[in-house]
Amino acid sequence: MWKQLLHRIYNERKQNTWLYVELLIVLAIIWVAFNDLYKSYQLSTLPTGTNIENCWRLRIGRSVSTSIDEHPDFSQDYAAITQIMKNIRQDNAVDAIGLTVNSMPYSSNNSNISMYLAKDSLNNKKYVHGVLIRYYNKDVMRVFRCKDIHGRPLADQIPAIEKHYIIPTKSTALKMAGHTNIIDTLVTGFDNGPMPILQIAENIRYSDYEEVMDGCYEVITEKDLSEFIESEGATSNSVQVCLRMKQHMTQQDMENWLNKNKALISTSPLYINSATSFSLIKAGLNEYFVRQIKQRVFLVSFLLVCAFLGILGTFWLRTSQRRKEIGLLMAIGSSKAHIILNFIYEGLFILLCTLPLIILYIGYYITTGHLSSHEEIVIPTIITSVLSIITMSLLIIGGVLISAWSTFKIQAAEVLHDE
Amino acid sequence: MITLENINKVYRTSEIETQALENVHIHVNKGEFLSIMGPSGCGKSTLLNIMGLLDTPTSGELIIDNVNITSLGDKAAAKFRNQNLGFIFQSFHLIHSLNILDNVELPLLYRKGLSSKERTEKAKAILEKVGLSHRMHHMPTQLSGGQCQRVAIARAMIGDPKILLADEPTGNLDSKMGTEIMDLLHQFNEEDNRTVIMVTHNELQAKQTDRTIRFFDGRQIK
Amino acid sequence: MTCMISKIEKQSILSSKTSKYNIIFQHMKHLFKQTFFQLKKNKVIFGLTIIGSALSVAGIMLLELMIQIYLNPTPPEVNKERTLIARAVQIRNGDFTTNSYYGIEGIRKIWRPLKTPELVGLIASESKVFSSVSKTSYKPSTVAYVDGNYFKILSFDFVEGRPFTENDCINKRPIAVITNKMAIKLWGHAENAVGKTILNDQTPFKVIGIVEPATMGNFVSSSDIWIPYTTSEIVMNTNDETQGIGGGISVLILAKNKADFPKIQNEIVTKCKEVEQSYPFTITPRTIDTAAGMMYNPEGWANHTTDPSAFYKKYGSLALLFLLVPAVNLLGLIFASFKKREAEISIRRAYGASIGDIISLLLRENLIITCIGGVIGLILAWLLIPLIIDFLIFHPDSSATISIWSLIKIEAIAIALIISFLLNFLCSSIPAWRVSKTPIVNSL
Repeated sequence: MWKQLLHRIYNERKQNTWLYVELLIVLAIIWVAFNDLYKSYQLSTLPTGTNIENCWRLRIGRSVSTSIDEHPDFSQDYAAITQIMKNIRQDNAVDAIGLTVNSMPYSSNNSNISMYLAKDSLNNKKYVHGVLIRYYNKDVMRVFRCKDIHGRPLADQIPAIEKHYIIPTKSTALKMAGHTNIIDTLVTGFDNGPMPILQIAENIRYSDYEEVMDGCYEVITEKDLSEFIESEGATSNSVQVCLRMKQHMTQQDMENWLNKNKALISTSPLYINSATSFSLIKAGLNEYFVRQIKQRVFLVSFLLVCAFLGILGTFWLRTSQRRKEIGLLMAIGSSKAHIILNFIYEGLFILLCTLPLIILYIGYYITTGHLSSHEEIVIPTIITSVLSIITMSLLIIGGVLISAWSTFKIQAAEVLHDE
Repeated sequence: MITLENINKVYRTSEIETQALENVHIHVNKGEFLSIMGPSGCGKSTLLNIMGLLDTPTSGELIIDNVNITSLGDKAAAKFRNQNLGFIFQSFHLIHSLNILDNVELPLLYRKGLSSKERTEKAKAILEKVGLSHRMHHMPTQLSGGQCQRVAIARAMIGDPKILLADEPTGNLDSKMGTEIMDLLHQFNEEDNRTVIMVTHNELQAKQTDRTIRFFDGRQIK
Repeated sequence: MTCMISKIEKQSILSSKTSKYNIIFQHMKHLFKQTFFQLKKNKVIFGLTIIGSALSVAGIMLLELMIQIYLNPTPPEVNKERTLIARAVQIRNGDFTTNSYYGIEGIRKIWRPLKTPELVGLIASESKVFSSVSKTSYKPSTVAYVDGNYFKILSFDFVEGRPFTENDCINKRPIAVITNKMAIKLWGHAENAVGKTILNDQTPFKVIGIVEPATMGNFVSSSDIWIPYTTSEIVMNTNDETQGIGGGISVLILAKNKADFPKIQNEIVTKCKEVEQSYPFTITPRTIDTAAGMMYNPEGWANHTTDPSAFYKKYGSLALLFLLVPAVNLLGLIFASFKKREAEISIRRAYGASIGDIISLLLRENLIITCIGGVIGLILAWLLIPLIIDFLIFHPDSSATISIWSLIKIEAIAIALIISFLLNFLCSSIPAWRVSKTPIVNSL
């Protein structure tokens, strides 16, 4: 039976050219779409280097009314916010709390710097550009459970003596030095002069759908924070109080907690006036990417529907043009099921014939670097290829079955008789 | 061997009802060469189709070799056709995208227990018998009408069927080729005592058969 | 007598004319009926072609909708066609490079003095918690710091009260305009909200106006609260390294007409060069977006350079895709049914049909297909678009609905139908063309 199938397909190759082309194009599109989706999925499951579970961003309000003309007095702000944070830290429900300026995760701030190892001579320096910088102190690192490349918490490794340190992430370190044994080395590129490397942190990503970015933490001091707050005020949107609760809380839970602890959360002239969950903030940042994915999924679905219609039509025509043959096969003694199965095998075999070209195309796609830069290429490619082939096979089987359904309503006698 | 009892065939559409066959009683003996004659539209092809299990009668029974065929399901009927019947049609019905050898092998594909090699051997043998083994790798479009019909006969015979049903086998051929085909049919009938039932327009050919049944308007006439 | 005769003559001329039209009309009707029955015979193939057309039309409608949502001037952004939005400026010297929105000094020195625009307004947004005296809120709202010109450029629907003026801004009045949704959030209802007090960081602000919230496709008018920009420390801050040239403010420019856009572009570049003389850094204005540009970059990322033609490239190629893909599928069907169609056309020619007759037949078939396909496509679009529009486009307030159907332009539908018809016709002419090249006997 396979021999007959092969002979037939070989003999019909010229007639079927368009079918081959159509299947090839559709298969290629499906594969690219699956690859894209898989890549996005892979990216979204990679760790982002920050743990935002049970984390909330608190905003600060001014509890003392000021008239518009008055320039508000920020001098009390730092002391007040420090006191508030101290109070909150002592509450049983709280895991950690810290203050950062413009550097909370998933904010739309992506300020970056360029840096290189100080010891590299002018000609030899490996400048790393576009390094995402986050200004954290020990408290904030505790909130977000920032880890070094060995998995140990960074917060515990920050010395008590207030000094500026740099903690580059693994990818930054590799770009600067080629290896991660660069602790205590000086790094240049900052306004305040070179700073020593305290530790190497695990990689971070700006959002869930983007690749790993080169990043680094600059360990800031109390003085940095107090200076900023004194000039901008604690109610500035750049001031981000980050809180980690011990348990999961809903928005309502959080508001209840704030209501209950009014004394804790206010120290004149400031008070905590809102709490936003970081998962909400993250969703806001990811929205752009998710929407891109949704749009692409929609487009591919449209293409697939059209492709299915095309394939359905083609197989319908082939089946109806073969009515006499079907009648003959029934006369010879084949059952209807067998004939349908044969058509399906034929369709799938034609699909198989397009595979060599597809493999070439995939190879071309990989070598031109369209695939992600992750270490693994083989397994994702196999998964996406298998999925694509299964989808196409389903399209073809569907096409054959639908066309068979009505064609087989005829009796063999009708088609064979010439009158 | 073949008995048709009280066969009726009515074609119903939403508007018209056509009685193709009415109260047909036929008995065919084993090894008989039967010809069925009648004007166009008299139902002789319908009769052949019913005998060949290609169509089901509206009422009545068909018994072949003591087996009540009318009660068989689709799968069983297909198996029966494959093992016991051979068909020859007026317009050959060869598959154009397969070569002669593949066309002839077709019925054997649905028989279990035969290897590919065995099938090819049998096909070659039967093509030898009809005198076309030198053309077995050609395509049907490269053969003349008479040759095509011979291939069709080879296909019908490859399964060693007990009954051969031929629907105007010489209708599309000239007289010389027609004679060749008839010779083949007679050969098969006499050699292995096969039953042959043939529908024809040709009086001459009908005279050469064992028995002739005439039909008119769905009814058998003497 | 002669008048009577001429009357009768006139009448008979008239009636023969109408009967002539009648005959033609009947003839066309007959032809179409014939074609229709023929299509019915090949139900599947033509059915698939019709579905293909329908998908094309539905796809184009969706695209048109997505574009019109942003481009169409709907209140309050009624002047969309002659409005520009400047959201990016690059400031650099040897030490730093900043890409940001404009700062208050930037507005004062660069934008306000421009001569070409009719009006220049500003808007800066942030998230902030606003409470009423009675109810403490813990959820931040969106507040927009705007000037008086903002309310002149945009035309808000004031349910109650009035907007604030440039004078209010100069005097730093603690007043606010809020949406009725915000009023409900604060006081449980939106009636008589004018005159009530909201708390901006414990500073009381008086509500002077209530507006309907902005709908989909409006970006610079999407906010919960509007406040004079002069009351915000952050907006008025000039203490940063850019000395206030850069900041967080977007500039709204109302041109006298669209033709002024390039003039404004030139004027701003010149102005920046002029202003940067008195500063230790260079000032380079970056993208100034039209509504189309906003559509391309709705999040307003400052370092996104929007090339206006990129917008047309993206949506143009999408439109092409929606039209071509079903057409390509159709080609596949045509090729597969080649022999049959060729045979049919040959038979017609054998019976005396001229090429003109064949073409007329194809035209009729495709007209019917496009019409039916178009209707199905429209119905499909009507059913599906409301379901998927949320899925596909960005809008800040998903609860604000819009009358989608008022946006769709008849021209777009007409163009889609015409192109679909042409493509179908071209594809189905291929068998006819091949037949005309070979002798009839070969195709039979």
